Amino acid sequence: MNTLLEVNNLTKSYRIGYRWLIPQYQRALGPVSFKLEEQQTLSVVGNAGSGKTTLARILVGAEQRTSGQILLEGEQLEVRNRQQRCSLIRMIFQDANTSLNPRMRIGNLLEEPLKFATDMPSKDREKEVYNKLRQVGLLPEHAHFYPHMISGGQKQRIAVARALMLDPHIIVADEALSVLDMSVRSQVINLLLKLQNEMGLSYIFVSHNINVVRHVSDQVMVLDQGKVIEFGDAEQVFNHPENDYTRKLLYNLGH
Amino acid sequence: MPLLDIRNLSIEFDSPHGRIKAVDRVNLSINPGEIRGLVGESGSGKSLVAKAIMGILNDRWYVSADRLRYNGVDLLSLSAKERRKLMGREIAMVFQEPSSSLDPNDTVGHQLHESLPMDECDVSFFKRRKWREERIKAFLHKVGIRDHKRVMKSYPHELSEGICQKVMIAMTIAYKPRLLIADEPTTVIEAGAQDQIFKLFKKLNQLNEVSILLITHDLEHVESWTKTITVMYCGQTVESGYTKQIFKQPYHPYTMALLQSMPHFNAQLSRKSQLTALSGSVPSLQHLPIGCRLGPRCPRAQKLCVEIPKMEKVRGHYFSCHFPLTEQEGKKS
Ligand SMILES: Nc1ncnc2c1ncn2[C@@H]1O[C@H](COP(=O)(O)OP(=O)(O)O)[C@@H](O)[C@H]1O
Ligand SMILES: Nc1ncnc2c1ncn2[C@@H]1O[C@H](COP(=O)(O)OP(=O)(O)O)[C@@H](O)[C@H]1O
Ligand code: SF4
Ligand SMILES: [Mg+2]
Ligand SMILES: [Mg+2]
Repeated sequence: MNTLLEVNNLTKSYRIGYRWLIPQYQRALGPVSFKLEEQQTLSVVGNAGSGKTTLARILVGAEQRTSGQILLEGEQLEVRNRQQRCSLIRMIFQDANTSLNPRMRIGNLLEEPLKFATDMPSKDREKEVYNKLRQVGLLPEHAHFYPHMISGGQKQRIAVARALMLDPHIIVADEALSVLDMSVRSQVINLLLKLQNEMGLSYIFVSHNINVVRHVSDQVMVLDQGKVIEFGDAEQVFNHPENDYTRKLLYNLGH
Repeated sequence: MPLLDIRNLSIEFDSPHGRIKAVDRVNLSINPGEIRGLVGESGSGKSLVAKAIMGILNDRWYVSADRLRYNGVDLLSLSAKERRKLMGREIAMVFQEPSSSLDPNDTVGHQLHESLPMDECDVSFFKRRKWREERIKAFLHKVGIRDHKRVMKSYPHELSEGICQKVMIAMTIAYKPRLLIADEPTTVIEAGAQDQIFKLFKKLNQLNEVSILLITHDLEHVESWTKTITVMYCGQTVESGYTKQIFKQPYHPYTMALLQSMPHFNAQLSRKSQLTALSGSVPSLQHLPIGCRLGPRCPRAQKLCVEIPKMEKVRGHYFSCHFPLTEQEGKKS
């Protein structure tokens, strides 16, 4: 199988203040190492503050790492330029309500990443927007709507469409499903599973919903205070957790 | 006698398209010491019902009911002043948007000091400040706020929504109400810390016999914390009964759809396979279907469904549907 993403000894420390004029750092994440193959889903679980969001943000480039190595399709991340990274790994934001600019038509919202990262002519951009709208089960007409004119479930589909815009190979979703209504959530899960099946997408899911994680993942990483305390095949981790923390976490989240 | 007893509650408002029934003859009751879940997707009218109980809907809304009683008292016949007095003493509500219920111009600590009930205070006047501080600290710890000093010095906008919500919950439980209405209390609280709030409610319920109406859009939230559930869709009550019964044997197609949207409900479901999901989305109030409002999305709908189905009762379990699931179909697969 094709390795899309390889992360080696990734760490992140935040400066938390000064003591005697010497900056003090706190390790929020790491060291983390893992590989993600094509058409695979990795879920990241852990208590609040365990570093899940930090990991997601570093992977999509919204945050600088402190040390470690990230290989995207075998190449070091620094070597690749920003445009390439954007098109390989994309994020679905948690709240479509606030992440979609209310003053822009949906067509323009979807077109933005194309404008930013490619030099596609506008006719092709339009075609691409219609394509993606169809892929997520909406209509080309929706391009002319403003976000407030569509339902919450449709907005989340727009968020997925926007993440798909540059044909990424990896999509990162940080708690993007837990805010959804139940019937919308299963619609979006079905959509993501279908896209994975058809296009070989890989996902990194951050979620606290153990039942959903269990349904969609191939691998699970358990974080505690920034450290990986368990990592492996999803069924293995769920059925035979090795660590007490994992056992407790699974129990608390799953009841 | 139920503590709260609601029969056929309707809530309407005038729109340019005529009068719209946002809440359509909803039934709901809570017994003393019970935790009831009120479940429905966003827009189903849960917050409207809660506000109608509290009597805080403005006069744009028309509230009518065959019965709206609290502890035997008909709430609709009380004057606004009498009602406010009763509410202040016995019923407390945690709102969905915490920042709107804290005063933005005042520190959190000051607001907590102002609102702390003093009836349990048994120390001399000079020691009161210290006593209050200790109490506040204890309540903040209970809701999971550790750095109480920083939180108390802050203004609401300096804190996250989650912290504000925890502060609101701390304020509410300090009052020891008889009935607590919690409207999606944990949606703004980070995922890992939500359970702590539910545990706190459960403890409050067990130690102080507080009755609780727990409003949520997620059926999974209520499974382990409630004794009974009422399910709403689009302003109508579709099913209500004991939580255990509803999870074991739903009668209404909508309840079934919600249960099926949880991947673990169906043990035979293989990993990464498609989930059963209702098609379409919740209609807007301007385009409500006539009759059963689930009609256009319902896999079992037939001609008869353009008429509103009556509430039926089977062994303490209520549902309103013309073509309910049979015992066989409803069984957990
Ligand atoms: N911008 C930041 N500055 C300082 N510390 C931060 C920052 N972002 C996150 N942290 C800290 O990093 C740790 C991990 O946070 P986060 O990745 O958000 O955890 P999770 O998403 O698992 O809840 C926490 O202790 C948090 O306080
Ligand atoms: N102030 C308002 N003006 C117009 N419509 C409203 C207002 N408040 C609520 N609604 C409508 O009433 C319906 C029920 O709302 P609400 O009770 O807030 O739903 P829930 O709490 O279940 O998400 C929704 O369709 C909503 O759009
Ligand atoms: S009454 Fe008809 S439309 Fe409504 S839930 Fe029952 S079968 Fe479906
Ligand atoms: Mg996070
Ligand atoms: Mg609401």
